[in-house]
Amino acid sequence: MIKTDKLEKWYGETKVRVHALRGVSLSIVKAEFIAVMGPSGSGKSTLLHMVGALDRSSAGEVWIGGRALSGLSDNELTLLRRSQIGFVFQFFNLLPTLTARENVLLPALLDGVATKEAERRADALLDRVGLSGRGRHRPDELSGGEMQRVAIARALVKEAPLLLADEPTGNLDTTTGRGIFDLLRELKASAGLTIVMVTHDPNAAHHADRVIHLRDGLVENDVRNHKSAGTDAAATGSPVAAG
Amino acid sequence: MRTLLRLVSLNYFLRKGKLKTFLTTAGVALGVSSVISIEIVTRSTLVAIESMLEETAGRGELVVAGDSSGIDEEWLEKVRKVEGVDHAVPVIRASVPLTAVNGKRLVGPDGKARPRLFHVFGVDAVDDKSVPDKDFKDEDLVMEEEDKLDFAIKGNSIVLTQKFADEMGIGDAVGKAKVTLVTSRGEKEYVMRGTLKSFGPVKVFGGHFALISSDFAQKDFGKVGRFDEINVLLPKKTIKKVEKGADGKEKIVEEKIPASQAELVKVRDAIQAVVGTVARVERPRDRGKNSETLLQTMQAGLKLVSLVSLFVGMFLIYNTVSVTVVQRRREIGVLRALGVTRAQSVAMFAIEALIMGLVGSALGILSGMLLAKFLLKIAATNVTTLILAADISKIHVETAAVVGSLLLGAGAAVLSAILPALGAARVSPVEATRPTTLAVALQKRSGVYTILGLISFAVAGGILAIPACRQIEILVYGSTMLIILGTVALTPALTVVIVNAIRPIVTRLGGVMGRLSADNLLRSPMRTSVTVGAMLTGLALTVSSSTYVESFRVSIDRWLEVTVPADMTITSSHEMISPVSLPMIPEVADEIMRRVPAVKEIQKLRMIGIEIEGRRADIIAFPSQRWAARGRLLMVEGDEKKAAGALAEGNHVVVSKNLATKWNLHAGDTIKVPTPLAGIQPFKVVGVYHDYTSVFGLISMDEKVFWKYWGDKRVDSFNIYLHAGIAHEKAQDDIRAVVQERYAAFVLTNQELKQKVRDFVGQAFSIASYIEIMAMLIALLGLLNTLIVAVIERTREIAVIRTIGALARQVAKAIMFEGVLMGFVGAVLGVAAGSVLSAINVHVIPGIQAGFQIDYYFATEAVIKISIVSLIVALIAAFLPAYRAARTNLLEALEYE
Repeated sequence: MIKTDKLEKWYGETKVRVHALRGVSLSIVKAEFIAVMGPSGSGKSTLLHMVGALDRSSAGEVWIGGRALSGLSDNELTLLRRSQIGFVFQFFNLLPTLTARENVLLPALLDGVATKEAERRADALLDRVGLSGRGRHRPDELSGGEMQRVAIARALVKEAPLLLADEPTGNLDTTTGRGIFDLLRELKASAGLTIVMVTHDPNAAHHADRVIHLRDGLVENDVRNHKSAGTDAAATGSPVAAG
Repeated sequence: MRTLLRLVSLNYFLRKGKLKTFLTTAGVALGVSSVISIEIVTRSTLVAIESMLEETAGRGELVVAGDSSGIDEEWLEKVRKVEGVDHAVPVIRASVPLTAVNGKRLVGPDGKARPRLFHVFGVDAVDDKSVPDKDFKDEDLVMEEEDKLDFAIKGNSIVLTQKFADEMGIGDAVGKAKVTLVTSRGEKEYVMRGTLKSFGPVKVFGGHFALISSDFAQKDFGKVGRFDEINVLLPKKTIKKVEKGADGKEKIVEEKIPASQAELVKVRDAIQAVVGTVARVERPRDRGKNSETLLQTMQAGLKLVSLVSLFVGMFLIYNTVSVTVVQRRREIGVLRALGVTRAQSVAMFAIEALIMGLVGSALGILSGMLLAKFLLKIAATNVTTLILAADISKIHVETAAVVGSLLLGAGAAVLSAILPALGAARVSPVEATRPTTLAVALQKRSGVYTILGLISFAVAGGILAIPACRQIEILVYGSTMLIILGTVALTPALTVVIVNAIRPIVTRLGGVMGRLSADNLLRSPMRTSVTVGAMLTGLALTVSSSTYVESFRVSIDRWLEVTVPADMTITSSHEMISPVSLPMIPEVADEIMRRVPAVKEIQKLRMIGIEIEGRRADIIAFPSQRWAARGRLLMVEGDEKKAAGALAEGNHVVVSKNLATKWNLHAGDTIKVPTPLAGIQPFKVVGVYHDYTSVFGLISMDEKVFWKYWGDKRVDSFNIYLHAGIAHEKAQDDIRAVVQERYAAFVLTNQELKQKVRDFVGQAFSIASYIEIMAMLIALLGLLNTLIVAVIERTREIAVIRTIGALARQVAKAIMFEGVLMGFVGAVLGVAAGSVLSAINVHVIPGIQAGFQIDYYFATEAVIKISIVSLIVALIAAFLPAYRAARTNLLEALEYE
């Protein structure tokens, strides 16, 4: 599903260059739930941005569904995001002027799905994330947990195979956060989604199939979580240290 | 506090918020610049007009003036003999076209003849006090001794301004260069005998000022034996006083001081007693007052524009500054969490806003001055060519306006920052850190605005429903503003209605992004209303102004159709009859009758300006019996036939509707009119009729009555009727041949005359077109500003949409759609509000000013044009923000929070 090879990202000129990623090689298979962890500045979010086609790498390559990203134009990257990737952010990033239901159906409409069909999907997804009665509410009328559920429903409406989540529980209390993890797990199991989640939350390890630890722009640790339902995931990260 | 400003504000200004700081400052600059430029234009126009009036008011302490037919010259000696009079000088002046220089016709850029309107004064060659300006000094006149002699004895001598002479390239051709003026006796060539340096009148008339010897001026301007007025100078008193010289020693110096107020009144009364009802004795300053009403329409239009621009300016500032503060609401939360007090955090934003406000205002004042200069240039070429001789292109900036704009800009910025900052400081620090947008922040208040809007309409309606209130200018303008404010306040509610109505069309045209744009407007009608408000205000003004002009044009057209039945008209110096045109001698009519057999009948018209108890009016004398047989009067009161019969019988007049309105006259009333030959005479009003000839109002009487009381048989206009079946072109040529032996007169067919009147109306309202340009400019700037702000405010939203799969061009398209939609809503509401305003303009304002009653004609064509232009304007304004939106850096935008 996703492959990165010696992925590097740096900012600034040669003399004052700041490395965010220093050569990350990963392979993530379909329907795997990955938690990317690590201290601040370790390169977690940068990795997510590279994999999410939101930013270009300085060196190395990213493949999504067998397609290399480095040669794609801005429009092609957008179309790739549109068809393959759903995003969930720490601060939800819902459009404040749209209702929950409208926020959910927007990506489907952008993708050219007929309005009726998009609405049907949105209603089904809101139902699935436990918000069937809240569709007409605006973001500022929802709680943090509810907003994140709407954001997840939005990420799913296009039926994209890949879901990227950047600290999805970072702005929520523990109980609500746990609910979000449960929801992601359940979606992974029922829809066969591939999920890559950047998180600081130690509870994440209990929910993910695999936990990748980054430090200083390198993979420090790549561990399969045996407590979670097993997959056929293969860890090929380097260097791999025992956790 | 200083630490806060240094650490937080300075960092914000210099780093993260560089663009926003720039845009906020530019927003303030824009607001201030629109206010001050309009203020400067208005002020400069008024100052130019005032100084023109003052400069032409003469140099005397008192002025003795009759009606516009002048005062007999025998009165000069009598005035001179009055005790207390030091000097009395006659004034002869005329405004006449200068048509050629050295025999070469003056043409405009289009190649057509374009004479310059010149103010020519007759002066006594041996009396420098006869130059009509108190600041005139001998050295202002550049003239050789021999030329002085020529000037006094040769009738073809003229002194031009150095400015005009240089413009025409004849600056150094004294004694040789020739100019042609249209005089009362026809076109006449004059030789330039000297030049005038820049002093009062030269400046105000923009160089279009000339002097000729008074004896010849009387002949050339049809004023033989008469003066326009007599200027009276009182003796200066010499007092002695002790002063310390440069060497420290005391010495006695003599100083001349002008006559006291009491002396002035005494002399004035003494002269008035001598001249009786023939003339009025006044201070020069008081004389100009009436002429100002001529320009009231223009002033009113400009006043309204000033008010609106002030309103839009404040609007722009509020929009930019408040958005920035709403965006930084989280900072307030963070600062509060760090221990900064509410007052400190609000003060920090207020000081930031003050700095941006001051810098923005300063920039706004500078750019406003440049803008004003440009606008005045347009106004000057449009307005002053032939209507106003005042040079209005000179910029006049008052300190008060500069200081006021600075305070306005800074004050509005601070206020716009304090309100949202207070809101953020009031909630808990955690609450304040939650992301919000202006749309959400404003959302809750839309109901209040709807109520405010309805109240504004109710109050405005109430004022306009009461006839007594409709007569009070300030109340009428107040209700005009209330209607604009009311529409703006109702914008959120009306936006929902309009956008809902067009949403299906927008979705069909723009697909999902079109729908998203429409939904965006629907979801945040308050934010939309900020943009639409600025736009609709400008548009409403444009619509009302063009409808006002259209109504005037059509009303005058209809009046022309019935009231001007003559086949041909002859006028001199001015194409239309007016109290300032140079009158012709009546014998011309006999000459034409004798030599042009095609002519069946000639009617003579004479028009003069008079003052009755300090109020200006015009009198027109005409052959009432013969007129009634030919033409019609559009009667408002009284029977047309009976009135025409009564006019021939003695002291009877009919008055125009505007005079009747202003003076509250009705059929059956009596007015007392001062006459030169028989003192004050009572005239009975036998009818009121529609007439647009005079903005002051017209008193129409039979020619025989006029001759009896004024003894003046001169003619301003001959109305000619031809025998049936005669070719007009041939007759016109024959008549012209006879008349032009004597006068450079205009011989116009009925159609040509009507066209001239239409052109004149067009020209008189040319100021309106420039008001329209201003209004559209305000609309464009308003829309541009608010769209840019909207894009900045929604940077994160745009990044989210891009993240979830919208293409850059889709985002750009959505912003363009949004701009055009706002333009559409603005156009619909602007046209609606403009229609209401124009109804007030047409039905109420002319009544207050000139007293004219005009019918309402909606300027459909102009309004369609304006609407299309406004959509194009919206598209242009949306382009830059759309481009910016498409180039949003996704990561930066998403990480902002």
